[in-house]
Amino acid sequence: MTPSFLRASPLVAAALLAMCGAAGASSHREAPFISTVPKVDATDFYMFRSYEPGRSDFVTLIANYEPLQDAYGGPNFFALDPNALYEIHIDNNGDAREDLTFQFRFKNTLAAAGKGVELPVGDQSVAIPLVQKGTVTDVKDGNLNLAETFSVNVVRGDRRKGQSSAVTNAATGATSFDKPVDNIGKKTIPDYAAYAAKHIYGINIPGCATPGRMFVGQRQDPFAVNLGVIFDLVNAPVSVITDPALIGAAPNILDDKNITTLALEVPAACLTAGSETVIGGWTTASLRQARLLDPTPKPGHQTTEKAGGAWTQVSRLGMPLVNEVVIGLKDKDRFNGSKPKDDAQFATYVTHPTLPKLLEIALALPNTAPTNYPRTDLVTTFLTGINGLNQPKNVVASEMLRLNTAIAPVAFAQQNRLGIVGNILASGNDNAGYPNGRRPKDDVVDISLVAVMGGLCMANGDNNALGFGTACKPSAVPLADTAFKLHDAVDQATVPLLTGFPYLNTPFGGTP
Amino acid sequence: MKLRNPLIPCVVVAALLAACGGGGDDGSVEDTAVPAAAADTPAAYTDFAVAQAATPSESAEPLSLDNLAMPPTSETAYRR
Repeated sequence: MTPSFLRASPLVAAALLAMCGAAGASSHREAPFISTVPKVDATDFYMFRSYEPGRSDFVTLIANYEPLQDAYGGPNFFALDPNALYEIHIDNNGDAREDLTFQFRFKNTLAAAGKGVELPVGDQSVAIPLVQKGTVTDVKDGNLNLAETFSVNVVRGDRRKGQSSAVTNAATGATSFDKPVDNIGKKTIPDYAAYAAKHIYGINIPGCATPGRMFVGQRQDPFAVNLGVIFDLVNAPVSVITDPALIGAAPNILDDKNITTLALEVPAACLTAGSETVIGGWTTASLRQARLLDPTPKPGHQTTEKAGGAWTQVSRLGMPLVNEVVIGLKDKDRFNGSKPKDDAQFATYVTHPTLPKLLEIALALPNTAPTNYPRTDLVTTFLTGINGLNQPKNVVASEMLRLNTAIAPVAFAQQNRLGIVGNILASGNDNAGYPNGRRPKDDVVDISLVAVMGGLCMANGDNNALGFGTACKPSAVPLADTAFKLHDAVDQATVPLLTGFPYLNTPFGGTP
Repeated sequence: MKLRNPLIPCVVVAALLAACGGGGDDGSVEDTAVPAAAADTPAAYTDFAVAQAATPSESAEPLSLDNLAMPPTSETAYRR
């Protein structure tokens, strides 16, 4: 399928030929409250037609949590929160409300029926302080002191009031799944890749005839970004971040960090509804509203907190970088607690974005922000999807990642790191990249920098070729062709990935 | 702060729960906000949280905190 968005725009290719390269963490510690509860901090969300050979009829959904994990972070490492609800939502009719929700719940259980592994010491049997007592190689390994398990429900309709059913193991029918322990190191887990692979499950999804796949566990953080430099008022020479030859000049500051991923592979037909081929997706995490601290915690695991009451959403992530660099600081917690259907309250941050103005200040380049207000180019990209590419027929403006499931996936080697924009530049056939969904290889930092500084309006030309609005045109872009050249000097495309599900690479170990 | 009569928390919780209304499926009005009385004292605040924590729900929406301009705190109270 060639999107009409692309067929209509020969001018686009001409405009983008000037672009030889393009430039926050996506959502790592992006809001005041969520930085206090890292176990429920969503870092990145990906949604794409599976490009693993033979799996093109599936959509992969990846929600990453717990940012900036150092591999040596023992002895407790990075188990997910048993007092939290992790969710992946799908809107399949464009109304800004979830129609399908995958709900993940976690449980941590000490060995020996809750006593934990004990060793004989003199005439006493004493509990050990570590999560393992020896080498770990298998699911439910007997040397693990702590078992982390999880269950998944699929809810159809409202996430709280809808019909809920358990996802089951396709091989056993079980509703409880084992999560691999984190990559403690070579001596404990000699072959972590093989150990983790034993935790990839075939799953039966209620209401879906074809089985899917699921993996939950630690992975290398797949996001690449020049984090310290960006947050230090873009502490890099303009000559570097506008030189397309230097897209990989700086080290990826996250390339020794892990995250924890919730990965699902679901038949595309099970996510769409009727004739609408565009789906919207986002992830959220919620905590119980009432949380009490026990001043005398009971023996067991994580017993200090007693949580109850309603689920209260504290993290939300669809399109990358939105809460990071678009939403104002005073509203970041509010955004994390909000639902897409209520996004009108945040519209000003998109129609009149501050990031271009901040870049003017940081780079000492006054009057370089685009002048087309309201920024209909950003409204289209972030809130409705692009007509003819990934905009649902009956779209209600709201922030979520939108994927046209009718557009064929592209093999990794042929994927353009700059997504749709880069594909136009290359006159290629890769219409499956960001912002049409998001793949791990898509360099969303560079794409976003180009977009906010006017690249879309340069591409839109004087005849509104892409439908971004008549005011969105080259004369509204003071940077002109230089807008296409912006980048953060870190190349997302060089991050190591697996060739198939769950795509994200084996995590760094506590020892090499 | 002196230790209190152990019956007081029960009375406070009962009063707060009554103030909240309750129910839902039976046609009664569902709770939508934490009552202002929950912010009267640190003890009332804790008691309300205890009552909430004792009743986890998979379907309820969280309560609004609009009545809690400044949650009460204590620098002298001991744990209960």
